Amino acid sequence: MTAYVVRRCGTSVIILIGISIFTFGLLHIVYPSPARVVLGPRASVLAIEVWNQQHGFAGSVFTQYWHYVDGVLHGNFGYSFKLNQSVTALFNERWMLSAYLSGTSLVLSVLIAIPLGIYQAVKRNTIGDNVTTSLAFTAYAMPDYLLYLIAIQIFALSFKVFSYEASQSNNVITVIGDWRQMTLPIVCMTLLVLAGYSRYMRSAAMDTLAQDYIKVARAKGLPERLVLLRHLVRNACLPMITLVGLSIPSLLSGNLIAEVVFNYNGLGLLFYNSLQNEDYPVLLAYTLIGAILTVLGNLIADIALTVADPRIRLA
Amino acid sequence: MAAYLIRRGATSLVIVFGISIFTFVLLHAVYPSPAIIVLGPRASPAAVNAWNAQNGFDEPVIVQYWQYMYGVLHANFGYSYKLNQSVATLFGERWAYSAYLSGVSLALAILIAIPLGIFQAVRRNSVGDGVATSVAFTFYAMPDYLLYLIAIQVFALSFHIFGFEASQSTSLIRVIGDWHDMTLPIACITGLILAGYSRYMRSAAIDTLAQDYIRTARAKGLPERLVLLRHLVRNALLPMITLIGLSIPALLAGNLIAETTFNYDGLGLLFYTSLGNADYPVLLAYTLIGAVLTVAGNLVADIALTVADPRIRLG
Repeated sequence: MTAYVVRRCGTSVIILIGISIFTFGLLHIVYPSPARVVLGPRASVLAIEVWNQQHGFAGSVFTQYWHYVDGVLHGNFGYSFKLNQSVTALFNERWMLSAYLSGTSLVLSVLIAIPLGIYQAVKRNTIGDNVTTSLAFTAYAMPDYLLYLIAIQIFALSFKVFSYEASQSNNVITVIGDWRQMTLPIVCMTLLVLAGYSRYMRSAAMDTLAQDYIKVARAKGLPERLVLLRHLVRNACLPMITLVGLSIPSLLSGNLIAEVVFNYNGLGLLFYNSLQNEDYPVLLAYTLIGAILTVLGNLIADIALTVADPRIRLA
Repeated sequence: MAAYLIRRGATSLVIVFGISIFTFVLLHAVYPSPAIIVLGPRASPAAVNAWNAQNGFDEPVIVQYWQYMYGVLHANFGYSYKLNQSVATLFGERWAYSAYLSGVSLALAILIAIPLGIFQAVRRNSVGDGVATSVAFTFYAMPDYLLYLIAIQVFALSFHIFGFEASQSTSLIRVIGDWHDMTLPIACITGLILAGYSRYMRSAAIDTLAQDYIRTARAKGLPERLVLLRHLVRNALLPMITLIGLSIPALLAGNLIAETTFNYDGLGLLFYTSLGNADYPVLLAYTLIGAVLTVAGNLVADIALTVADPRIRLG
């Protein structure tokens, strides 16, 4: 087990190095130096070269990559010359807000998806199953911003139950307490995540229900409640571990649209604005962090799976 | 098998029926009548009421739903008062473009993902696997429009190899022949799909490689090439069938961002423009078609899976 964890971590580190090279190389081609932004569109070619020399943008790509990685390892993700702030400071102010929105929606969806999927599998092809399946497919097929806009129209503009934008506070504690403004984004995102998760949970539960050990548990006269609780839930939840691990980075980018529509000042809105401003240091850091989260989510899911299910071969 | 097909088909119909109710009611709550658009913002309430009465928008929701569904069954998806054209005509002009872009990208992604995933599984933890994984994770974590913008900057603006927007021709044959303009969107979408698919293919192939029948095939002295071709590929492909079925609606929605970025006149760009115009009949039809495709994709994948793998229980 220890050897497996060490080997997996070693591979992950190598993959992270590869990802950082690709991301840096890709964005470096598009945006080799911020000199134009700093010196203005009328700066002479000479002035730009001098500025590049002074700020280390004249070296080879490898040298610049090395400087960037050295900075990242010391918590310095570069400097946004458009916003005149370090990228680390920009991210520090916002990551808690994004983590709160994604985290709450993810936890809520998992908590609802597990009982819902089991209910649908046990009572499959009943009215209840078909109604929930219809709802899930509607939410799954609907582009996310359309759902956000419909929710805002109905619950904020037509019936003034909730607010039409997310909380504008920069303090997480205030944001968490502000249910009137946070309910709509959290509920919408939960619905969208739940639409996919409940389908996976339903099919995992159906597969598990067909296993011999469920038949044995029923044959020995175990009450159905205990069959479901003791034998079904724990086995049917195994595929969910991988799914949750793989969803962590997509929650970050899925947040992007939610944060833009609800005007919520998290990492997604920052990325969106940076895209408009061509603020590449921010785009680079966001993509890099997203890729790191992908690798981490994968790694954690794999390790959690081998802990939860000892039958899995440590390949 | 026939009984299974009929039962699955009937369940799908019930679910499509449920989806149509949810989608219609949701959009009806936001946008009960196009009267204001037709008559202008200064129309008197009496004129709006008279127009609604004349055009059947004063009936109860159930009657309006019935009329809409009756139209849909006769290929009439309503009328876009913003574009002064029937939704069916708008879709008829554009669906082939979207189908071409999605179809080619999906087919390419599958054709590359299968050998790539198997290669990565057979040579796992080698340099080749590490590089392919790094590239896949970079693509997977990168928001799609950022990839499109980078590709446009590098290949169209910096090096002038391809066009900076997709083909603007109104003839599908011309679009297909226009590789100069279509390579970038197709290559980018393929890359994004491939990033996910190759991961699934890799893990399916790793699972299959650990099976006893692979060991048996090797033990009986079958050349490694035949072990892979005869025993591995066909078994490792099974999970891909479900994945492809579930990806069909996501392709429609994923195209949206690609079509908007590359200014390609397909369904996605139409939806985007309609969202800006609050052109609800188009939004309703697009969502409905997306949901029907989700159900159809699911159904086709399930049936294909039972055909491909007779061990699967017809539950």
